Amino acid sequence: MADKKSFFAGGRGLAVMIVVLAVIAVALYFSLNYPPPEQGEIEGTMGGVRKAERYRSEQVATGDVTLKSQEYQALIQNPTFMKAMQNEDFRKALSNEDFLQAALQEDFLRAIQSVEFQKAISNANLLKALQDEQFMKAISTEHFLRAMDSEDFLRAALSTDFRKALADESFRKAVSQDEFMKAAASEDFMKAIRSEDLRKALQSEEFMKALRSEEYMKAVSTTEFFKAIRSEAFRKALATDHFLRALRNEDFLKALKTEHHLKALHNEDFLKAALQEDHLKALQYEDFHKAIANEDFLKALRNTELRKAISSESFLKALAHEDFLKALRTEEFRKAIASTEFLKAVSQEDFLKAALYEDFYKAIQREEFMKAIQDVSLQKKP
Amino acid sequence: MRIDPRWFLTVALLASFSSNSLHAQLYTLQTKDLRLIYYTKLHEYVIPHLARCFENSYRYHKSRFRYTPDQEVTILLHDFADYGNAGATAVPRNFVNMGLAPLNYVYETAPANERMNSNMNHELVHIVASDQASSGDRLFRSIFFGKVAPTSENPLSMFYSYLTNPRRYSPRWYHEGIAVFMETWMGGGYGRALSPYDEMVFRTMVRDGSHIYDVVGLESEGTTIDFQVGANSYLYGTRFMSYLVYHYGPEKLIDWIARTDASNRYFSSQFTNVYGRSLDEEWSRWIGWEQEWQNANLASIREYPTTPFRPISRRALGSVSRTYYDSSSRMIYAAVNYPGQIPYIAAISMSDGSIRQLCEVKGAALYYVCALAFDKSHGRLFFTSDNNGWRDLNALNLRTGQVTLLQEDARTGDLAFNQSDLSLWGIRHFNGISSIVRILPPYNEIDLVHSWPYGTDMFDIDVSADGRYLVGAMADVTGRQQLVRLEIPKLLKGHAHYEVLFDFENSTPSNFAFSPDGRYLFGTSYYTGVSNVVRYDFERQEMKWISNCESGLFRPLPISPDSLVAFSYTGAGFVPGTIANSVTEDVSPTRYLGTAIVSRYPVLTSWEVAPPSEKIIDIDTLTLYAGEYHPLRNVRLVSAYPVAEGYKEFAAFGMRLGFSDPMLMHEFGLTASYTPNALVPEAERLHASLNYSVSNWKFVARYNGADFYDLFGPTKTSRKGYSLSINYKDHLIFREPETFDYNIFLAGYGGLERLPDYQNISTSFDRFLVGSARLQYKYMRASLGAVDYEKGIRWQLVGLNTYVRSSHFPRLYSVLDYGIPLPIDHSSIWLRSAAGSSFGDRNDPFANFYFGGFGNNWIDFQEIKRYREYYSFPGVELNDIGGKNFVRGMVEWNLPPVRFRKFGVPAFYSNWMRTSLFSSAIVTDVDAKTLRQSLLNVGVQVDFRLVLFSMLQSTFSLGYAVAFEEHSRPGSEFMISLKIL
Repeated sequence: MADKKSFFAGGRGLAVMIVVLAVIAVALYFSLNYPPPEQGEIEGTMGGVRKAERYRSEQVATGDVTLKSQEYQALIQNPTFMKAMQNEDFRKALSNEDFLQAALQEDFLRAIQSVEFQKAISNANLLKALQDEQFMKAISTEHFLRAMDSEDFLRAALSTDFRKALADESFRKAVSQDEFMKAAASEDFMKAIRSEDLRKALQSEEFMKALRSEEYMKAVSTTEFFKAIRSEAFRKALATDHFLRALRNEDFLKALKTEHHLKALHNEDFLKAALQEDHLKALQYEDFHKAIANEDFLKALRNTELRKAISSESFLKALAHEDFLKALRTEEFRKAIASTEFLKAVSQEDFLKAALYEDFYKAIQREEFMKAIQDVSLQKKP
Repeated sequence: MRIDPRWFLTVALLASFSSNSLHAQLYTLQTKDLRLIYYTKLHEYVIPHLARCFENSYRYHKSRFRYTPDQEVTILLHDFADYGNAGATAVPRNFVNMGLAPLNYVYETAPANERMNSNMNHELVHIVASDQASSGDRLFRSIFFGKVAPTSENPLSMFYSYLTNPRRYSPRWYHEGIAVFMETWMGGGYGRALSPYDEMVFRTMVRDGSHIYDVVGLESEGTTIDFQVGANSYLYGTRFMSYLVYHYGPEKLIDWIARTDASNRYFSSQFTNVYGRSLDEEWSRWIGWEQEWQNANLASIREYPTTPFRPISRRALGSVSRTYYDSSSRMIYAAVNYPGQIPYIAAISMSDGSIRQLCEVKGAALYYVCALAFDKSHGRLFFTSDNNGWRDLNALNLRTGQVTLLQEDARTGDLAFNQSDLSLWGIRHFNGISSIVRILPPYNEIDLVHSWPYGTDMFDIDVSADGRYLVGAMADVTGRQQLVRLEIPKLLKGHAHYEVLFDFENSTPSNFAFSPDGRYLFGTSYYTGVSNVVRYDFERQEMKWISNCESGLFRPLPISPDSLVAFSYTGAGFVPGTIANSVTEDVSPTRYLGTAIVSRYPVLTSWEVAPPSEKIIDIDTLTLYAGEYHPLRNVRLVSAYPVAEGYKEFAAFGMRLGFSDPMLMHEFGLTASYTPNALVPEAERLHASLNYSVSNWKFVARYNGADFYDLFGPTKTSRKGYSLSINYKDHLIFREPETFDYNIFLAGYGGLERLPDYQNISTSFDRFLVGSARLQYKYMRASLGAVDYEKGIRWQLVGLNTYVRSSHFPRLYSVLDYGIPLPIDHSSIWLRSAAGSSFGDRNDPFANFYFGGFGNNWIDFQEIKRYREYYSFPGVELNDIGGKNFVRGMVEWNLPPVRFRKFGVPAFYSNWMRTSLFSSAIVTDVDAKTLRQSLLNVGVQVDFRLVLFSMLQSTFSLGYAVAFEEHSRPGSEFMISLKIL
């Protein structure tokens, strides 16, 4: 009997297997995919279901649609803004370019929402003071602004005595003297002002009387305070007639005695602010001290955003502009910024965004745009 | 004080004649072919783009139709409605009005691509189709100095109009059909000629064996009784045009439409000229072919089992809004609008399918009725009214039935309620921009959330139950539509980033709404060519089909884990029913006729117009002027034609000249005629009238006034003498259908023989002044397919004074009409009352009211149902009853109209016939027993609506009444009248 070898022996089987598998694969491929789908038949599927053939070619694209002045479209879409624009006062205020540049800053816009600000802005003295460059410089310094944060300062500033003192001409003159200003700039003076001994002394009636006495002043030289004030500059200042007269001023001395004022004197920022050259110069002006004595103004100044806003360069520039100041003085403007519509409108993000666009300013300055906005027919069918 | 009437009238005239005070400032951009007008600078952002779209499209049409215009096209851009629309006319001048708002894509009845371009492509076809002139048309235009507009004052103008613009007098389906066809292929396949909605309508008609109207039947019945009313003109017209192109090619269609020198005047005879067969015959062939086409589509659908649908309601509801399901009461809430019934919000019981009316919807829209949202926790529905204008927002308390108007002109729809914080969300359309808005309790102020750029529109929104997500459909300027989702907390912080759940390309994702557990979205899509229900699974992020239906399913609403409510399309409207919530992959695509056409005629791919970009159209170079627009400076002679008039018993012949600006803001008409008859005194042979209308004002001056209708007695309005009158009308409320208006009229007369208003009453005084003031409140409604008002109230208060011989003769009267619909479709009962009193000397004719007769002339132009007027009393002679004061009452029953499916030929047919029965009573001189007259009458009037030249509507009326008075023989009157236009 012959030796039968297996058909699959010697690698032949493997080759056959491979060929068979290849044939099966090819058969499967062609049965499933032949004829291949034409381009037009490939329409996509959704949920395993084929889409109906629906002819469509290239369409108008976004780039083919060129529009004009789209930037403030979002603003126009805002019904709150549109309602505010119905307010005639608001529209007039917006027509001032300088106002727009300054007032449409985010900080300012948020600040003016405060009730205190709204009250303050209606004060005529404040408005007059706002014209004064010195005043504006003074209130826009960092120290002053930080001092505004102090509750003590606020109370002190609000006290009748303090305000009366500010009203005193001799006091004002005194503190605006060069010598005094130099002294005020010295560190020793600052320390002296803040010392506990001084506080106690100021509370004493007798001390206050003594301060009025020149001889006493000459005599007392042993305490720390007097060590401090041995600085030449200070002594010179103290020696000036104005200063001495100021020290004799009843109101001033009363003010100094109030607890709040004494606490305020401990506030370094306050002292630095109060004793700044600009501030002291500003104190010469009647309008300034009237303004700064305004309760509402002081309260308003506690608003962080407002302080940021008024310290900005653009706002200061605006204040230098006659038109802006005129606007500030007008009742319409004050009414406008006090109006609910305006405040709601300017608190909208869209409004703030729009304020960044040059086209918005251009649009607002165009009479036609303003007319269009105010056109009642926009709100009602023409 | 003595007042010289001439002085008074002159001063009044001069004081009122201040053009600038009569309307808001208008602005314009003009090119050689275009006068684009807009009324507010806020629209200016889109003006250059719209002008480019016009120039681009117009160039195309001029080339395609071989059209050479002889005047520019005036376009008025407006924002009068929350959804965009447009219209066009070529008579007397080429004019298009274009709405700025985004379109409504409900059921894909409008394309979602760039709308200014698409609308312009469409509307300019109307201009071409109506304005294009042969040499013969141009000859008549030169004879008549322009294109003549038909006017009821001079009915001969109808014939002149046909001579100058014959193709204007074609049926609506013809005009809309060609416009839609062109818009589709100019738009690269975007339009109703490639629309699944149109396919669905005809597929369903074939499936149900419904009647497909012929040419006459479509216009007389098909556009009135169907729940789609006038939209049927679009459907049939587009379909027929597409059929013609499929069988005979696109060039032949252009040959039919284009009005060239070789073409026939009438559209129907031109059809025969081009296709070698009558329109009727080809239309019938189309209907036969349509059956085959749709049966093939139905067979394709039926390859797989169709989804069982269990109807809830026994009848179709017409158009249906978005719907909501209240599981506690097992009620479905939806707004419905179907022919014969005033639209309303309905509660449909899942238990027995009964329908309860909750409240009326004022100003319902055709397909979507109104926007609707459901606050389950407080049992209230929010809905919009005035949907065809600026939408108002209302709330309906389901428990008490009280409706509260929350915001007027909110301009917001696509409502969705956020149950988690009770806020209402919507999409607002204002100034052409689509914005997401939120409305917090108490829902009387809108807060803007996000505005999309121009060309992007969001619609069909929904809010998840937890208040975290907002979903909706988003269309962009290319017409691509996607289903998107936004996170509400981020959206409220100004981040409008959206997640695309599915890109539907050029199909609309419709009404996708969250399942109660928030896991799914259920909506519909025509993805396969048929509107089927799809379900999006958030976890698996995939779409699955829920149905395979033959007609179309819409507005799905999950009611349990196993089932959904959906609305099935039928020829009578949408039918609510339930289907199983189970997935299928066995859904076959169907064929679009439009795709078959472009496969057969690939030349149509070259019909697409290039995009109207700045690179292609330099509008700055083309602009001739941009700035303020003054209508008065643009007044021109528009037509001059011969007229015939009646003066007393004689005929007069003359000319009429018409002047107007392109927008018809200022219209002047001057008519002069002469009676060449020796029986007429020489001083009375010349007749002239001048009328001028602008804004709310109308001025009329007459000299021996003659009237066309006096040629056909018995009512005569011609009078010897002269008169000058001023009329001013304005609205105190204008929220259609609710209006409250006032009218002031002042007139001076001289040289009269008879009273101006009472032809049978002579007067010995020939000069006097008349003044009147009228207040009118009207809130009248009619259902779809109505021929008259069916419900409502009308109240009038009129004060008149006649000043003659230094004496005043004041009179006062009031009218009150109240109507209620009957359970029979299109039938109503009306109670009409009037009362009045004069305060002068009873013996003076000026101090009396006069009554009598139907009042209709044999040939007439005034109100058809004149028996309703306070001064009419059918059954007695005109002006036969007089009195210093009176009380009158009438009961009227309007029977449902009988519509004629085919009663005539395309050039002349009758639409419908309606019958009214009435009975009235009148008492005059109530305060004077010896003079008192009391009469009673009973009467009937039958009216037939006739249509001439496809567009000119007339009414033929027959009336009969018998009047009774104590101690007198009954009187009777037979009335026959044809009202022209």
